[in-house]
Amino acid sequence: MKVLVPVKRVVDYNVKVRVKSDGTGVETANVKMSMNPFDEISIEEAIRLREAGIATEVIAVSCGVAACQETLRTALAIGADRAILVETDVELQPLAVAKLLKAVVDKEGPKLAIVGKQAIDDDCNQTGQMLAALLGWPQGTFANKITVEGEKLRVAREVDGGLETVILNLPAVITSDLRLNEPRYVTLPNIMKAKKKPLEIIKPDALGVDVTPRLVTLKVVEPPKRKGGLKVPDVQTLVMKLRTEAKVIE
Amino acid sequence: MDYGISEEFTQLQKLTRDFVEKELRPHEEAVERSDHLPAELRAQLRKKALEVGLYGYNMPEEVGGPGLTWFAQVLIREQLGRIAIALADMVGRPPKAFLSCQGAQRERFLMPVLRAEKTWAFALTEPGAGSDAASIKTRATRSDGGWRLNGTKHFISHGDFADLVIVIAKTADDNLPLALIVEHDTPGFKLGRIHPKMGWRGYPVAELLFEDAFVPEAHVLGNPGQGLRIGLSQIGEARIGVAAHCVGMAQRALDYVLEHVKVRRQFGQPLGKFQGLQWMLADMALEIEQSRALLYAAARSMDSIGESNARTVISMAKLSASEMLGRVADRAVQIMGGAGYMAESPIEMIYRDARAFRIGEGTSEIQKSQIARAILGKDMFI
Repeated sequence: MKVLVPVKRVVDYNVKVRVKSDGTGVETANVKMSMNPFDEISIEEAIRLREAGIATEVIAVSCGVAACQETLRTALAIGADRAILVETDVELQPLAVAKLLKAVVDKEGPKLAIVGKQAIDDDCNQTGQMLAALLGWPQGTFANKITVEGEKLRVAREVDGGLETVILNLPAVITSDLRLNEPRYVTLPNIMKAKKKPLEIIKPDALGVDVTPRLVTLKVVEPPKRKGGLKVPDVQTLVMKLRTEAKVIE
Repeated sequence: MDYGISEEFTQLQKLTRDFVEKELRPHEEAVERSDHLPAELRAQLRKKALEVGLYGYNMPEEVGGPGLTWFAQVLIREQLGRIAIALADMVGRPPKAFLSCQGAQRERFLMPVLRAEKTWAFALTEPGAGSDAASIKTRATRSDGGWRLNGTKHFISHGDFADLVIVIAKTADDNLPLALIVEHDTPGFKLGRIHPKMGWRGYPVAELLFEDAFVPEAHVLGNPGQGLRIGLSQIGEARIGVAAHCVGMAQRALDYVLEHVKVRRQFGQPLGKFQGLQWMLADMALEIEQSRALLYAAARSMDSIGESNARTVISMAKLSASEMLGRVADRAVQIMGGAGYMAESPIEMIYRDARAFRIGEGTSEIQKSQIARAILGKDMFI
């Protein structure tokens, strides 16, 4: 079966994010960009499925500006077989991305989409769920472990109380959580091979998807500066202050 | 600074950096403390480097290497500068002399080296022949079906455990330089002393003794007369490699010190708030970037005009980076104060290890001679 893995180009996790001076967003000019770490985990999982003889082809897809090709090359270097860029300069919101991905799924016919549970830039945590809804496929979100059993997929999900196991019918959408796997090294020969792998560029129009933003960003602001803490001499004072000053306990 | 590094090369940097941090870093402290890198660990680390494709990253495609540009190799080596030398060395870079292997020599010597099955040493330097490499005295005398070697090599990296030693000698009858591969267990080939040294812990440097050691004709690389050319074929690579290593090491020192000055408080404020130290840090950053810019320019020149035509700028890069590292390491110790002198931070190690780079692969003075020769023209040197 084919496996589709969407990858997003985000500000690198090591970069200290700065808000643009006009408050319209965060600064991305001259900032190191990388693949969303949860998407790296998704690619790794897809490749493991291919190595296990379950997946036949791993297709990486990214939606966004032309520079997303770099992110796709990384996906190819990790081991994806080919890549698709849905290129647009429009600011893409989760629903638009989910619609684009649905169109790519319709075109390519994968039986499994492994989506990062969220992107580390906007932390929306919506695209995977929306994609499943649009496709009418079952979803296994926050996956900690997945096992393909014939036409079924066993997914251990990370939930507040521990792990919950669900069994889904294929085709399905998975969203990967941090502990699903530990991505491998991108080896030197694979880095060199990546540039020879096919990368197709298509436009949203060709997929018949309207990507016009539906949400309006009013303003982006820095989180409030953390106020200095306070040292207390003993537990009694701590409890007293939590009760009377912070008012977090009764 | 935007050096126009492609996404592909950025990935090579990241791979190397990750390999250094995940596979090599955990062993650094133990190697430093014990001055020893155990044979089993060496084998294990070499195997890992091979698995990620970094081992032999300097090799051309025709022997199964990645065929990287010089610029890509420099970016990798710069990252390797961020770990103790003994460990950085586990990402093996076989000497280009092995590429002179012909016919059956390829399977016997070159391939096992590329597969990380056999280790090597390169023996040119002698007690009486350092910078003046052509004055070597080790003699190869024709003997039935091969050569008998007599002489002493010293300061030979990995000479104590290398499976294969490339020895540069001179023929006894007509004084022609000759390159031969000597196997570890050759009768008459003995290990002399392991030189005690200032730094580079866990990286043994040995004296090698040859007393009528018989080396078959099949172990000779090229022909008599080509020995020095084969031996020195990697001089450009070695020098640009040192430059890259120095830049990486200096950057590590600066990164470490920058963290320290944000946390360490004296007189009621972090050290980083003192203008005197700020100026030292600014100088360090400036000098590292100057050397890096020259390093990258040298590497790109090697790619565009060829290594042998870029020798002068290679010398400039090596001279600049090794001298810069000395100054950066010295300031790093000074900013750290007592903590920089203690062997509890990498700064003390960097300070010691840095010193060798102004000597090895051509001293600073040899580099200056090379540069002077290029700018003055050969006429001034007759």
